[in-house]
This record gives sequence, structure tokens and C-alpha cells, in this order.
Amino acid sequence: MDAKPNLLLKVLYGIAAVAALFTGFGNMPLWGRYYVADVPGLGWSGDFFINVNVHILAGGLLLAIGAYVVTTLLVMRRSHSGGLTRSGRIRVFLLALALTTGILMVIKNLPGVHFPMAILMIFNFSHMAAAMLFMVAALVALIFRQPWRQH
Amino acid sequence: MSNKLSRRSFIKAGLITAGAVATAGVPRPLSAKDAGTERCTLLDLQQCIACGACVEACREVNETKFPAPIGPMPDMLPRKKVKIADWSSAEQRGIDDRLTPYNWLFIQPAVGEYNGEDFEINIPRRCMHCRNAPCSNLCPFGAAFTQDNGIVRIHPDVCMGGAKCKAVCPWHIPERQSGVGLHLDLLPQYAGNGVMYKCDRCYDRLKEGELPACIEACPEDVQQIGPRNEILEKAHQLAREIDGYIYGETENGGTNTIYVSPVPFDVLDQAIEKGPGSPHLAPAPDAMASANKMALALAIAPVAGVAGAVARFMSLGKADGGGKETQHGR
Repeated sequence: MDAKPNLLLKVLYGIAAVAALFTGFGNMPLWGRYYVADVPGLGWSGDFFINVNVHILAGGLLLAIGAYVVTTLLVMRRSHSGGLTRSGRIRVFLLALALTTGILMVIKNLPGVHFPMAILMIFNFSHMAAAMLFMVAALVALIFRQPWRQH
Repeated sequence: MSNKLSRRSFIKAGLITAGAVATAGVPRPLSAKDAGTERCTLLDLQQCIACGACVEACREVNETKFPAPIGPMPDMLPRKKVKIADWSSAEQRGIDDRLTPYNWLFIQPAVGEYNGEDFEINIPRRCMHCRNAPCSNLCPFGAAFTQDNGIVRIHPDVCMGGAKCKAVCPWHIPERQSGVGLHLDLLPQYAGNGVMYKCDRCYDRLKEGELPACIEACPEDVQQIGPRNEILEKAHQLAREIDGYIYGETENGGTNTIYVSPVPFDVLDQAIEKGPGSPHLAPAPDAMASANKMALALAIAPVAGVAGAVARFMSLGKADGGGKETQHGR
């Protein structure tokens, strides 16, 4: 079993990451203001409920991919060989932080669950900061062809 | 407008003085131990005489919380998309027949005919304080939040005025004042547009064991506040007694504002003037239902990921095993 991500996984990861980031900015809200929702085919991005649903779905896909990759590495017992690069470690940390705070915010949205305002702000701002920094790290990795793992 | 307010002041003072004699009917103050439990309000619409005492009391008590823009409004970009909402002139501040950043409660009259009889119902309208409020859930900055006692608030120091709360609210309650708030210190032209304001059910008074100003000032005891289960019990009892109708118990998944009316709410909805600052009385499905269903997808996701990896490992293991058998058989 090959622990390296296959093409399908890479494509799914790319789609999920782009969708999560796009809808994340849409939740700010920015797309209605800056004409993105006026672009044919992107009208849905101005609807906050569709936006948040796509955002959660994309987050779920990233979570599933993360669980798949971690399980694969554990099953293959190959985590000791070919560890993460510095870029990979940064991206994993930021993505994990964005996903963890995202899960907490989804829990917060459930009926009967209330968090104090200070906690909400910590969730929101750490989620936003982690996602934005992840976006920068992912773009840098893409441009400079920095792999996740050492060969 | 000022004449209107003076008349209201007069009526309020007179009625409150008269009402003070009959203290039995005055809602009891809240005890401190009740402060953290989910509290709900009941509005008996038969009782409202549209004297406006609640509206004026709300404005007086909450005056210190109202926006105070200084200087000219920022030049927002893009101009076509971002409209300035300025209610700060003396004339605009005086408006009390709709929701504005300076008027968090208004009386919505409904006049019409039902079952062959004329009716005139006055409906105090403000934030419904939803149990699972989309404004609070979907605020991207955590500026809108729900307290354990059921109050939904918007913090003016954190709100960016993006009006997402207004867009996702089934009644579009919050109202924007431009030229104030945090966004002025960040990117005033490019992000945010003031602060959103709405009823905070006098959270500060409630914290001190006092009643919300509108409830305390009402000479007709239209409103009462209490633990949600008790209020619901009272609402159903009242509805049975008058053969009436309830609004707010199930709307948007449940709110902490329960109206009881002798006229059905679909009839009232047709009879009221609706529009900006004047919310409807139509059925409101749970706005958070679909997003909360997505939570299940999120819960399944890691399980699916692990299962996928294990399934792939096992299928490869079988393939490897099959290869060895074939080789061994040679």
C-alpha cells in the first residue's frame, strides 16, 4: 500500500481546500460587496446559508482526507520514514487548527449550545487566522514546489 | 415627532402613577438566581393599547447604548454596493414607528376584519431572541452572541456592520448605523460599514435583577418575563382561554418571545405594514436547520476517512496475499 497521496486524493484535497477558503471569505461577508456573487455561476456565494453549508461540507472533506492520510501512515507504520518537510509541518498545523476551530464553531451552532462571547471571538479569529495563513503557506508551497514530505 | 413623544410621556406618567396603586398586576422583579436560566417573554396582544410607554422607556433606558457617529460618514467602496445607513440626525433619531439603530422596539398596528368582526391589534415588535439565533451563529467575528439566559446580543465594539445578521434573521431585525464601530480603525473604506443595533432585552438591567424597561413601563401588563417552560405554559393557557393563537414558540426553531393573539397570525400578517424595519408575522422555518444537518456530515467525515484507509489497506493486503498464493502454487 502506497502511503503517498494518489492523484484522486490530491484532486479532492485541492477542491476541498479551495471551496473551504472561497466560502470562508464568502462568510465574512465579502462576495456580495465585491461583485463576486454577480459573476454568472457564483450567485450562490452571496447566499450565506448556501455558503456555510458548502463551507462545512468542504471542511468535512478535508477532515476525511486528513483521517485517511493519518490512518494510512499509521497502518503502514511509515511515519518514522520520510517525515514532513518544514512547509508540510506548517501546513498540517494550520490546517489542523482551522479544522479544530471549525468543528467547535459547528458545535456552537447546534441548538442549546452557547459559548461566552470571548470564547466565540477566540474561535472565530483563530479560525480565520489559521485559514488565511494556511492559504499563504499552501500558495508558497505551490509556487516553490515544496512537498509535504521528505523524500 | 417631539409632540408625539411628549404626549406619550404624559400618558406614560399618568398611567404608571395610576398603575402604581394596583401593584398586584405589576410584573415581579427578577431574582438574581434566575439570571442565568433561559428566560422568555409573553406578550398578550389583547392588552396593548399602543400608548407607546414601552417604546419610550426602551429609548430612555438604552440611550447610552445608541450610536454616536462623529464627523462625516466614510466614503465606502464600492459606492454602488455599500450604502451608508445614517439615522443619526435629530429627525431620524426621533422615528419610533419602525426599527432603527435608535429605536429597538415599535408598535406595529394591525387593523382588519376576522370572522366578520373588525379588529385592531397592536403588536410590540423587537428582536425575537431566537433560541438558536442565526445572527449569533453566523456572525463571522463573534460580535453577535447568545447568553445562557436567552438574550441575543450584538457587541458594538466588535461588530463590523456587515449586516450578515440582518440578512440571515428571518425577520431582518438588526439595523445598521454607519460611521461608527471597529471598522473605522481597520479598513473603513473597504471592509465593514458601521455597527448593527437591536434589542438586547436590557441585559444589564436583567443582570441586576430588574425587569427590561419595556416590561416595567407597560401600564397594561402586556408583557411578562420568566423561565421559558413557565411562560410557555402561561401562553398556552391564555390561548386556550381566549381561543387564541401563538406566534414565536416554534418559529425559527423556537424563540424567547411568545405572542398570544385572538386573531390568527396569518391574518395579522396580512393586516400589518411590512417592509424595512417593519418585520412580518409569517411562518418562519428554522433558518439553521440545513447548517445543523451538515454537522452530521462533519461527524461522519473522519470515520469515513479511517474506514476508507482501512478498506484500501485490506484490499491491497488481499491482492498481495493472492499473488503469493499464485507464486506458491507454481
